[in-house]
Amino acid sequence: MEWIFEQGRPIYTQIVEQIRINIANGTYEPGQQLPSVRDLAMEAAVNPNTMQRAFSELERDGLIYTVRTSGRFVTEEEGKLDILQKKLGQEFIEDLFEKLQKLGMSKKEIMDAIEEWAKEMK
Amino acid sequence: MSIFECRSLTKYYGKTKALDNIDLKLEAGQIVGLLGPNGSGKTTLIKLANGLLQPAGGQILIEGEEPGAGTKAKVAYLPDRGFLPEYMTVEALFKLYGDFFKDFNTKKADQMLEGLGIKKTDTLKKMSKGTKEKIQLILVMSRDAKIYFLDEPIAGVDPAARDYILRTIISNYCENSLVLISTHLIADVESVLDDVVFIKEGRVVLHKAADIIREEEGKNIDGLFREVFKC
Amino acid sequence: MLAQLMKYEFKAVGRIMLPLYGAWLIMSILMGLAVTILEKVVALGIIIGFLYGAVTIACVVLTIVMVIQRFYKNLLGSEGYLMFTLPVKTANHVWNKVISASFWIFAGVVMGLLSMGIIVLFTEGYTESFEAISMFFKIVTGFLGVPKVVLLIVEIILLALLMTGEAALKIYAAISLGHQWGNHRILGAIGAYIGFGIVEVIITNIIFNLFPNMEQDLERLFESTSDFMEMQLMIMVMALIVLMLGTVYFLVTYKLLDRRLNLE
Repeated sequence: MEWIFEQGRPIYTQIVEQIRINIANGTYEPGQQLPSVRDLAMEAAVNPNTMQRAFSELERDGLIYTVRTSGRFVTEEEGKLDILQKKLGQEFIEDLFEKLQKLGMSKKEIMDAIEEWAKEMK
Repeated sequence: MSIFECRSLTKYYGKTKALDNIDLKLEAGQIVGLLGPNGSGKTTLIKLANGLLQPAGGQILIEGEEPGAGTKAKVAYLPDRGFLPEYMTVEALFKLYGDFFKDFNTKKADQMLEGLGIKKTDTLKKMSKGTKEKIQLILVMSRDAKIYFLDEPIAGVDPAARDYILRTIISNYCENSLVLISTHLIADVESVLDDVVFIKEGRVVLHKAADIIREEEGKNIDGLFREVFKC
Repeated sequence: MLAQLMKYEFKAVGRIMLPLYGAWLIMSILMGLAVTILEKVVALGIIIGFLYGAVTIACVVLTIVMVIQRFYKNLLGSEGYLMFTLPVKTANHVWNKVISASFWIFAGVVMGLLSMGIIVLFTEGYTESFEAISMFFKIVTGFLGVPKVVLLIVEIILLALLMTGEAALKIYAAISLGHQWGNHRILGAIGAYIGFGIVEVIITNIIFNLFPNMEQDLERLFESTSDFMEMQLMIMVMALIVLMLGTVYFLVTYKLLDRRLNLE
């Protein structure tokens, strides 16, 4: 897959984000083994230490776990995955609101616009 | 003990000060970028580390030792030019490296070669510039060295070859080794770097972790570079 | 590591000189034929003679060129970035070049003699040549006895090797010195070489002036001994001088390569 990094933000943060998204949208399925740090670093064209740092943080959040001599796996705990979905959802919504507020829309205007858009989607 | 250290390192070319009291400590397990414009002293520093130049003042140390036959056995150098006898075949070059460097891994070199579809019986003379550079890279990266000095490894190289070189550097990563990449092409290389060293007019003006710079400055290394080295 | 260096040095030089020597031998044989059997076919004889001369000159010139190039190009050119990053002591690099140069100059001389020998073999015939050589040896050994002749031959070969080594080192020292002069490296090398010659002459003059009676004393010494001892003394004196000069040029080369290397 393509890894694209924004300028001006730490790369390891962006890796964490990308992997969380991948877990949430099923690209990495629950229980699936992740590529090794080295392989993923090569795929993303980043420093292995940076990738390692990202993995460590994901492990701290409980989204992945290490099986010694086997590698790293995506968590299967439903609870953790639900929290992830909720968290990501909130982050995206926050991002959307920030952007729209910068355009000068009020909260109500934003909510109405979303409802309208949802109606047209159906 | 740092794997690579400079203490008040100074070097003159005639009356010009190429390096001015450089103090630098680098540790193993890192890929470090030595970044600066042309003529800032990057190549001079690397040549000093390889014993191709002698310091005018101060010291340069490889695992605590001054450069000599002993350090050359554990340092791998990829210069920014052709440096191999043109009449030799790839096979002969592999043999030469194997004969002189105990840490040369012929199997690894063979594997890297296979992936590129180059015949072992080809001579360098018959190859394109890009292929020659790949051979030089293979020879250097197939060594299990303590320090790798890569001087402008991606300059004048097409994007596909650039990817190949960066992937090779990443896949070669070893926590006991140091890789020092000297370049002025920051944007292409910065995602691969742990630490970054800015060198300006023979002095170290910055030595920081790349991600910390991105966090603190809100810029990419390339962006910060343009600021620091504005003409 | 020196052995490894010498292995690659031999391969690098051999790939050019060995085919050339092969051609030289073939041309010698052809020349021999031309002089004897092909006397009638004058035009062919002239062509062969010309080719023989050309190959001979080529071998001589190429040997000198090779001695220079193997040092200048391999150590101080782009390949220097390879050579001086090998885990090898600088002194061994100098030894490698000296030994190689000595060997190939000596080989050239041997080949020259062989070439002439082949032609003589054709012109004078096998049996007559053989007879002439054995006669020569009988006379010489008659004078001195076989062991002394063998000793002399060995000493002369060693002296020849020392002299070729010193000649090479003088070239290397000149190239190394000239290399220090950034923009005029070749001019500097030539100047240094000439400079060395001048210094050698000056020192010789100084020594002779310090010891004005030296010539007379040496003559008296030689007269008082046998011919054999005279030869021995001459060889020793020459060897000593060559050894001293060689050592000086070795040290100059070594010091410059070790402490004042500046590639590019």
